[in-house]
Amino acid sequence: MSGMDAVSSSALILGGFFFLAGTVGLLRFRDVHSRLHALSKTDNLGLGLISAGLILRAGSFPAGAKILIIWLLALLASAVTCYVIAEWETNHERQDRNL
Amino acid sequence: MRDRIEIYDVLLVVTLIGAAWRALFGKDAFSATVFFIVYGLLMAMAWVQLDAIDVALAEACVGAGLTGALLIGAVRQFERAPGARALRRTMGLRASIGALSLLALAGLTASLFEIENRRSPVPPLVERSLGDSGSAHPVTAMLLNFRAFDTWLEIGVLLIASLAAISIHRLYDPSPIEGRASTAPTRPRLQIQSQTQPWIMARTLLPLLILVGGAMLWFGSHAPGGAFQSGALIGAAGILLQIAGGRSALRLSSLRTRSLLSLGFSSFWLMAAGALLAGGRILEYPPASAGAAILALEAAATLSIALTLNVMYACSRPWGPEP
Repeated sequence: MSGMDAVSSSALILGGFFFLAGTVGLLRFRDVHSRLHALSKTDNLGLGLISAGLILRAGSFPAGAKILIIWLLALLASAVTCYVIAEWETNHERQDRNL
Repeated sequence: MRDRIEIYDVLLVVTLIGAAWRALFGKDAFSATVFFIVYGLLMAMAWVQLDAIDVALAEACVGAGLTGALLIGAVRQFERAPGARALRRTMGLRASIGALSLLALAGLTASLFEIENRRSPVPPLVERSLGDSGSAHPVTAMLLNFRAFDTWLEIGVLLIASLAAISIHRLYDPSPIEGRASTAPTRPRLQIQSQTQPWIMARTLLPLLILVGGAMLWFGSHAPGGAFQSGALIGAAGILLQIAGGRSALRLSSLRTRSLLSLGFSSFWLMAAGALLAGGRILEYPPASAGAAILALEAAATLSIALTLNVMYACSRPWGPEP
């Protein structure tokens, strides 16, 4: 059990690191595309690692499955919104250049 | 609620204060907004620690998520607008804002001592009447039955806010008002093809978001959830569509938009008037159909809240919604 705990803890800590890095990126990067890059890393890896760490501690199958579903939902939403915002920004840059 | 204070709680409070500090004194408007969102998410975690899951959900959805989106829209508009820097706050304004904040702080601190010193009679009262309320969840029973009047007025505040957003947008919108969209659809200033990749992706995600929002509404009858959380989720789906280019979907002058905006408020109004006419007190539902009444009111409120958030977001964008 303690081995499982160690794996779970290191996944949680590593996930937290990705969140920290993503937030720093969001604040430090200058343009929308780089910021999106930082944020989608956080959603994919950070939330994925935290979900994995929590699933190991979930205790019951339904609780673990719910955490997995939450991660998949967040992943889908993150992929779509990232693409949509990037496309929107690209359109605007193109429009600004044409003006 | 636990009685012990753990290291986690201390860390949470310290980070909360830090985020609030950076939100107030950040180096620019954008980073201040990011820290405001961080503050909202940390606040949601604090509410979870206090066993207030409903408030945590609302804080995360509305406080951090949607208010954050609105603020970022405002920041971008502010950065692009020529002469916006001229809107510097004067010394007198700063002083009065500071004085008002101190007054609010004093009032809140005083109320803190009051909570400490008296046991509230409300929780046992709610517990006893829960069976007649039409909801198995005490928070929903409180919001939609025992204090439905307060919720009615809250929905009214949202309605007024959306009307104010529309009015302010009209005030600054350079396009003439007489070209009402119902007769002559104006050509969008930014033309986005309706079959582009993001539009298709957003449309694919939409049913899923609406499904989760509907589940959130349904859960409200027996677990944390309800109209505000559900409305925020469905509103987010609409905002996603707006960003993806579905701008023509929202016409502020159309009867559909207007009636949907006021649906929540008018449903409460009808329910209140119906109860009065039936000889009861205002917003007093018959216990047998209280569950159905609550669900109907919540569904109506959800739609209005979702649309209100969309109208506000559309009005905060540089080129705005359809007139």
